[in-house]
Amino acid sequence: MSQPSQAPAPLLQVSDLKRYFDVKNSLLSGKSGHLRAVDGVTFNVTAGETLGLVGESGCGKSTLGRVVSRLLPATDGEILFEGRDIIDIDRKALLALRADIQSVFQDPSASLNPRMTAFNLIAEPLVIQKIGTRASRRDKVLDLLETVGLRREFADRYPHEFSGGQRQRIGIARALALDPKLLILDEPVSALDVSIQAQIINLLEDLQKRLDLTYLFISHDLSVVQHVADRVAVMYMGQIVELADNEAFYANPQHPYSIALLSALPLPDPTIARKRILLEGDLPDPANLPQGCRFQSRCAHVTDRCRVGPEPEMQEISPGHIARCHNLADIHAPIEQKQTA
Amino acid sequence: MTDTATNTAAAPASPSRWKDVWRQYKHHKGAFYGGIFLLFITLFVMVGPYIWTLEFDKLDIRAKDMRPIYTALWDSDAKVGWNHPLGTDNLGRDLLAQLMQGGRASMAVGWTAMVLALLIGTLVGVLAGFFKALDGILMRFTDLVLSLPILPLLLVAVTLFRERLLSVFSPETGMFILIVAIIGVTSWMQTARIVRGDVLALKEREFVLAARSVGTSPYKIITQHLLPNVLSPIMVSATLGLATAIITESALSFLGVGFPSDFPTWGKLLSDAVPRMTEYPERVMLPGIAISMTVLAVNYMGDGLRDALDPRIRGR
Repeated sequence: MSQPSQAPAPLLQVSDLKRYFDVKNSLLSGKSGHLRAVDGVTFNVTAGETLGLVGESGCGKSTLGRVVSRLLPATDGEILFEGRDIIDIDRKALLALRADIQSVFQDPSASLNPRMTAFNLIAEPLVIQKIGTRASRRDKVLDLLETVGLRREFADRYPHEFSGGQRQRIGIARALALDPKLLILDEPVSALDVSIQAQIINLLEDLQKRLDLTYLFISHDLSVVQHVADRVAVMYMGQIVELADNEAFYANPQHPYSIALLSALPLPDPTIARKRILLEGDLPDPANLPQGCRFQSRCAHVTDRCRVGPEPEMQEISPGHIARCHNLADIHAPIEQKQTA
Repeated sequence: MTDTATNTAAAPASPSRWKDVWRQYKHHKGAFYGGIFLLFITLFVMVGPYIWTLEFDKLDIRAKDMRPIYTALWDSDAKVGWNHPLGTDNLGRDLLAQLMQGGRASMAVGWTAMVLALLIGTLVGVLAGFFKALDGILMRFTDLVLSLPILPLLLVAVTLFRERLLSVFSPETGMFILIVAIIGVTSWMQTARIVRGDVLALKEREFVLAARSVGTSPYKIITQHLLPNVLSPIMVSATLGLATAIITESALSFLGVGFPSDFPTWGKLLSDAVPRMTEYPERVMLPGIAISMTVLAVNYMGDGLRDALDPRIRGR
């Protein structure tokens, strides 16, 4: 799937990335195994774009974000940032890399130290990276407050004195302090009210245009991703099962899991009736995956081949649109939205 | 945003923050009066001997067993006199002078031992909570120290080290170091356990991850993010630790392994007076009141300080 034939080299290249967690089973059985949180993930992010990463809770999307931002070690695989490997690097290079890849976390009330003022929270990255003098840092922090739509006078306040949306703005200002190239947005709006979500998303889009940022946007909310992402990757049980351009994905999802997810998307028009696909069956135990396809226990189109054969490989349906399923040809049907008069 | 007034208002001025802390502290009635009382008692033991110049160890056998001056209110036969307002003990030593001198020793032992225990406890707790590899070793060591019987240990330590310390320092200084060290190294375990538990919970919070994501070193994470957030439990164990230290010192004196016998401390005054406390209750009550009032004052102060240092409470 190395198809980017155009000029710009991807900012981030992830290939066959794996992250396993050791699991200790109960005391008596003594068995231990791996939980495959991220299991062979490959994707590219081009500079300036937004890659939306969607999936249900527990599918490994946050773990993937943390491995890419080097907050968790990778078990196996390769991550190239601007063409350079970032897994095997020394402490000094890692510190420099931290400035280029920054994260915004899900819950701003948990990701801001309650004992620090907004000023100190935003200044902390600059202090740690030893950037600027005391005076220049002060100017930068106050500018950042304005950049994210907060008043300069708020600098002396503590996190508990802000609303949820304002707190997330501080989180974003903090991530922007080091002028990063890539922002890992780990569910940046999931903890916020819907009305605030829109504001934060508009802010993020505006910042992307102004500061030339690249986003890895992790979310479980398909409608948010539809709004912000240029391309969409769907994750299921540690693997990407479908990766496509935004329009292609929402118009013509290929993988049965994507189809089911999209059928659950609320539509703004209540008069439109549609076929909801209810996923039945249970999630497999991530520490003890079944043979064959990982989606077999919940798939409506499951065949014997899915149950016994090797895991399905990524198939290219159209340029840039890939999915991981044996039966694409048989299923191939976009969601039907029948209009009832 | 360009006018200077806005800029100065936005300046993160730390002096104003300490003013906020002081305002909140004053707001806490108990802490405020506790602080005043502690100031008073500190002046009492530090400056008092210069005003009440009677020697604390001067024997005056003719003036022995005098009652405090207030006893005259209900007992006109009582042996009282203004030259010994709080009475004397069975060797004629002035109780007021002894309380002042004893307070110096007790306060010094209490504060130093408490600070020592706090430092060890916080260090062990933070290391055990933060570094998974050290957790097992350090906490089992904590359990080990916790299970040691303190009094026999103290007796052994005193017999082992007394001679060596006394050859270097004066008897009082030598004993002071020994007692502080022993109380310090035998009372840090509760603090260590509490701090470890809190650090374990805190280090999983997202703000620690956020700090790591900008490249903060483990040392900075501990000092900037973890320690300020475990301040409350540390403060509570500090106030309790002071009380324990003063009381342990009195237990040591009671067993005769504390300070030399002619060197008063609150704890020793109290235990010396126990055999005759039905006849002379004031000799138990006065040092007892001094100990408990000091401990209470420190407790309230700790409470107020904890609230004043917490921005979430201070804002109210």
